[in-house]
Amino acid sequence: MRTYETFDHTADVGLVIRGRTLEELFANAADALVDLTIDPAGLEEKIHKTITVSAADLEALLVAWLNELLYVLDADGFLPRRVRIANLNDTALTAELTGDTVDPNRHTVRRLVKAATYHGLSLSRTNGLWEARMILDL
Amino acid sequence: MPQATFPLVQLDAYRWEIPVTAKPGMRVPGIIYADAGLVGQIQEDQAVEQLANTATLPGIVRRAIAMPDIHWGYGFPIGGVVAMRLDDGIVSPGGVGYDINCGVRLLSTGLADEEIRPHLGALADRLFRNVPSGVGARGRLRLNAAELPGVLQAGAGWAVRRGYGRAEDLRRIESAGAIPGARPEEVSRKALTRGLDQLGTLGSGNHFLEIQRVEEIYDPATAAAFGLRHPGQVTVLMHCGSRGLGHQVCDDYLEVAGRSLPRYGITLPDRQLACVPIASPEGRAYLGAMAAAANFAFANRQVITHWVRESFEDVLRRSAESIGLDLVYDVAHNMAKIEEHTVDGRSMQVCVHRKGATRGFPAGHPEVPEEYRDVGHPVLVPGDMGRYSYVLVGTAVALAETFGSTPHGAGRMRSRSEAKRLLRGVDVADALARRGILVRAVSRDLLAEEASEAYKDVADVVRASDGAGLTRSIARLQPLAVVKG
Repeated sequence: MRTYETFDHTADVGLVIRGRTLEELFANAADALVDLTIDPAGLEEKIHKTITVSAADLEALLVAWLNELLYVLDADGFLPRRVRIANLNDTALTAELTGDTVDPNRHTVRRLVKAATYHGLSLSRTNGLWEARMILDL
Repeated sequence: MPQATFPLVQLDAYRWEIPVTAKPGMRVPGIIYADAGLVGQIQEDQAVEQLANTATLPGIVRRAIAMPDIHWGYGFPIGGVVAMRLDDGIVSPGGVGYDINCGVRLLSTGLADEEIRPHLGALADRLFRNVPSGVGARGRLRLNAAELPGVLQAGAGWAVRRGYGRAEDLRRIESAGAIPGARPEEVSRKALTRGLDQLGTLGSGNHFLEIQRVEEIYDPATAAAFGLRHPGQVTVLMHCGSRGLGHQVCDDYLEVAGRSLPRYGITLPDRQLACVPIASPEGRAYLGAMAAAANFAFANRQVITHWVRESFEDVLRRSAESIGLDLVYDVAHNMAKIEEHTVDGRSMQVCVHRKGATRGFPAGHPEVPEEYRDVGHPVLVPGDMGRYSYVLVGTAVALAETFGSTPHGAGRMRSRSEAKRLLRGVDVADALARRGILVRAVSRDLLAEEASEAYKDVADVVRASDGAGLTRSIARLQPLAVVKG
C-alpha cells in the first residue's frame, strides 16, 4: 500500500491518502504534507508537541488537521518527523508530534503549501482500506 | 480526470456562454472570454463546471464571468469574476481565496538594460538575500503584537510612515494601498501570529520578484503616462500576497461559513464555495477581516519595494531616487470589493469577487488614481518566467460587461507533475541562463513546476482579452533576472 500519492490538478496539487485505520490515514496525511514542504530525511526528532484539532465532521477534520500543521509551521517554524494520532473521533483529534524547527541552511526545503481545501474532498472505506482525496492550494 | 461536458454556446469570436440550463441550480448564465484556441484548453479540466457552480450562488448579478486565463481552481475557478447584490447576495471566503490580495506591483527605472547587464548577477544575489522567500524564511522585520493592527488598518501607508517607501507611492496603488473598513478585531489570534514575522516575505510557488526590460511598446502615449518610455528600459515586477495571515483568515471564515450554511438556508454544489450573506454579522466580519488581510498584503509589497530600492542602491552605488524605481502601479487579483456598477441601466452597489482577475478601470472612472484618470490605470499581467509580461489598460467595454475586470496572468496549462515529467533531466535554471535570464531560487530542482512549459502563453490570453475589447495592450516586458521562493 502506498501511503499517499499526488494526482494532477492544473493549478494546485491533489493528494490521495490511504490507511488501514483512520489514525493511520491522518498520520499519513501529515507525512504527505511534510514531504511536499521539505525533504523529511533532514528533520530531527528533537521537539515534542501535542496538538488538538476539532471540526464539524470527519472530512472537515482532515482539512483542519493539515491546516493546523501549516499554522504551527508559520507560528513556530515546526514540522513533524513522527506523528502519532493519540485520539480520534468524528469531530476531534489529539496528535503527538516529534520533529524539528525548519532551517533552510540545514534542510532541503521544497515549497510552501498555502492551505488544504474542501474542494473535491472525500473520505471513505473500501475493503478495509481508508482512502481520502483532497486538493491543496499551492 | 473526468471531463465536464458543458455545452458552450459561441456568441462571437471571443465570447462563449454557459446556458443557464447547463446545470441545475444555475441562477444566471456563465460567460467565458476566450478565443477558439483557448476554449479548447479551458475545456480540458473542470474550470467550466466550477464557473457554472458559481452561477448557483445567491444574489449573483447578471452572469458568472471568466477571463481568458481561466483554469481549474478549488471552489471558484481561477480567473472567475462574480458580482453579488448587497441585500440578498453572499460573500464567499473561498471565492477570494487563501491568498487574499495576492497581487502584482511594477516599478520603473531610468536605467537601460545595457547599463545593468554587468551588475545583473550581483543584483539578483542581493535581491535574493534581501527579500526572504521560500519555506522557513523569516521576515527581516519582526513586528510586535501591538503594531500589527496598525498594519492591518493602514496597509501600505503604515509601511511608508515607518520609512519603507515614498509618500507618492501611495497614489499609485489600488485603493491607495488600504481597503477601507478593515476590522483587525475580526482577525483571529492565529492569523495575527502567522503575520508577525512574515511582512516583507515573498512566499513560494508562483510568487516572484523579477528584473525586466521593456521589450515593446504598443501605445507610446499611454506607456509614457505609466513611466514606460522606450524598449530596453529596466523595470521590476513582483507577485506576492498576504502570506500565512491571509491564508488563516480564509481558513477561519470558511469554517464560520460552513457552520452557518443551514441557518441561512444555503445549499452548495461544492463545500469550498461556503459563503455567508453579505448583510449578516458573519458577512460583515469576513469583509472586515478580508480588508485587514488585504492591507497586510499591500504593506508586504510596500516593504519589499523598499528592499528592492536598497538592493539597487547597494549594488549600483547610486541613490534609489536617481535610479528611479518609481511605483507604476500595484493591483490586487484575489479580492472581494464593494463597488458601484451600472446594471441594466441602473447604478447599484455590488460585491465583486475577483478570484485570479484584475480590476481594470478605464479613463475617467472615479476610482482610478488622479494621475492616471485620463488614461485608465495600468493592468499588470505577468507571464511565466521564461517569456514576458504585459502592461494593459482596462476599457469601457470591461466596465460595462465584466464589472471592470481583466485577466491576471498566463494561467497554468500543465500540472506541476506533468511539467516535471516533461522537463525531466533539464536544468531549468541553466536553460534560462543560456537565454540571458538569471534565476535565483530556494528550491532549484522545483523550478520545472514554474517553467514556461507549465503555462499558457500569456500573449494568447492578452490577444483574447484585447480582442474582446476588455483591455488594450500598452507594453510588453521581458525578464532579465528572476527571484523565486
